[in-house]
Amino acid sequence: MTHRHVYTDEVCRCCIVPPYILEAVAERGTDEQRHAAQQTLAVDHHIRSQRAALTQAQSRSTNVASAGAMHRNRRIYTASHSTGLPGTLVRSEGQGPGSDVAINEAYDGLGATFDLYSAVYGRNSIDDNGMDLIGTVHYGNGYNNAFWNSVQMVFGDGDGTIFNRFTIAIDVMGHELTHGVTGATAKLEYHDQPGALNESISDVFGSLVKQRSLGQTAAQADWLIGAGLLASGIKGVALRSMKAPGTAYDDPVLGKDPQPDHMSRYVNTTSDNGGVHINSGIPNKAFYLAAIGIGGSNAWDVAGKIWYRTLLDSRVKTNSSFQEFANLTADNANTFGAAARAAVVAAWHGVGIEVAPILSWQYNKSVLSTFTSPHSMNGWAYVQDNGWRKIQPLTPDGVTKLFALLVDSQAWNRKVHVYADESQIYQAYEV
Amino acid sequence: MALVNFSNLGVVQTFTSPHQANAWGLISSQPYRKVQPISTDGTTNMFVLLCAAKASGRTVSGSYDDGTGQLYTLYLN
Repeated sequence: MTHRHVYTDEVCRCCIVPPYILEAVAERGTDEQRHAAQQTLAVDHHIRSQRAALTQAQSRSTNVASAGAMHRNRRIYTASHSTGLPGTLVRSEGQGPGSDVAINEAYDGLGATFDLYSAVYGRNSIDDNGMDLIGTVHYGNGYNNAFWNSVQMVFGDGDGTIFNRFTIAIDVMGHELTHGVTGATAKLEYHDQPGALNESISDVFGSLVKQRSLGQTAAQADWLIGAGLLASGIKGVALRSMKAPGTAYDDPVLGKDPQPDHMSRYVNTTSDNGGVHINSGIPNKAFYLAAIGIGGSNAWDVAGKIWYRTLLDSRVKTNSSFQEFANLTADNANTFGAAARAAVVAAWHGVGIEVAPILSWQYNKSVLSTFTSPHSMNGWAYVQDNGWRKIQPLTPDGVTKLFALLVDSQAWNRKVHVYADESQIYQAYEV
Repeated sequence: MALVNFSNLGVVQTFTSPHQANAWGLISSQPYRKVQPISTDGTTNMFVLLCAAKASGRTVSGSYDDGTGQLYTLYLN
């Protein structure tokens, strides 16, 4: 009998610093550190309770972009160390930088995130409809977090002894805004494996925002999430490492980075919504391995496009598991060729997940090319959005009949419904 | 076996008889070529593709065995 943990709150809290780190500081830090951590935990709890109202506000927000036009409109506010949102407007789109580094970093980070999504993936802001990008800096006093609340981004200044200001890490902004993208697309539930996928997707695109802004190849990138966030004196380099999960920090106050890098070390826990910030290390490592395995130069190109296509894939369910997501990444990798698919399959194998074929009906597709030779049962078709697939070599006459249908459909520009997976075609209708 | 590739050529005529694995295609600017009789169903698949190209006016690409002159692979373009 299996047990599924039930959470009273399965929505995305979407804070960059997971609760177990703050709880560790609240337990083991100095008096000042404990006070700051406890205040941050209290504020995070308040954010969660406010989220429903904020989501309603989002539905009423004015997204002014016309259909199809990319619309980048950033607005940065300061909370002036209060917790009122959004605060006082301090910089709007097109205005130059000022003397406040947090304002400048927030403005640039939101812009870099928008630019990655628009230039590489053709996405028009978070909601793909030109949603304004709003950020508030100087939130609270010594607030040790940054979060996305479905309407805007919010950045604390950090307490200065555990964490630095949260605008210092551009990938943090990419991470948090990507929670908005996931909320507008796959809507992955924020618990257990779908929640860890939700976190991982934010880490993936957060890292890609950073890599693209720095002009780094996959091999050059540090693959750290939140590098620079930890104050001097803390034994660690970042919040997480996608390249080597579990190695980002090991500190007397923070504890040791708990992320696993393989399914054999999957952490079963009820804390952190079922370990969403912990087990995300597994799909994080898979993406890193895929980006390196695919080769080329930039991770945001082929690897990023495969993950982005998967995020938009209607077959991703709100409660998708690692296995289901992995299968779909391999399926989406087909668009980029057999080598890309093989790299994705190998990447998931590297974290203990064996990709399985996805068999599904696909409707009203064009047959773009067909191929055969005089060898027995060797018929192939290139079906729209699928790539080359071999007809299942079950019987000679059966292959011939299916091949004749596909050839006829191509020759006379007729659509087909095909029952296929990543490698073979099993059935077809000509329609 | 040396293969010779060709690209984007029209199919002028096709020919067959009830004999096993006996299928032929006349591809533009080339002589009549028999489909290499490696298997009966494979020969049929090649012939299906040739006939579809002929009927629809689409071109074909592929290869033939330089030694025997027989068709070895075909794509419908």
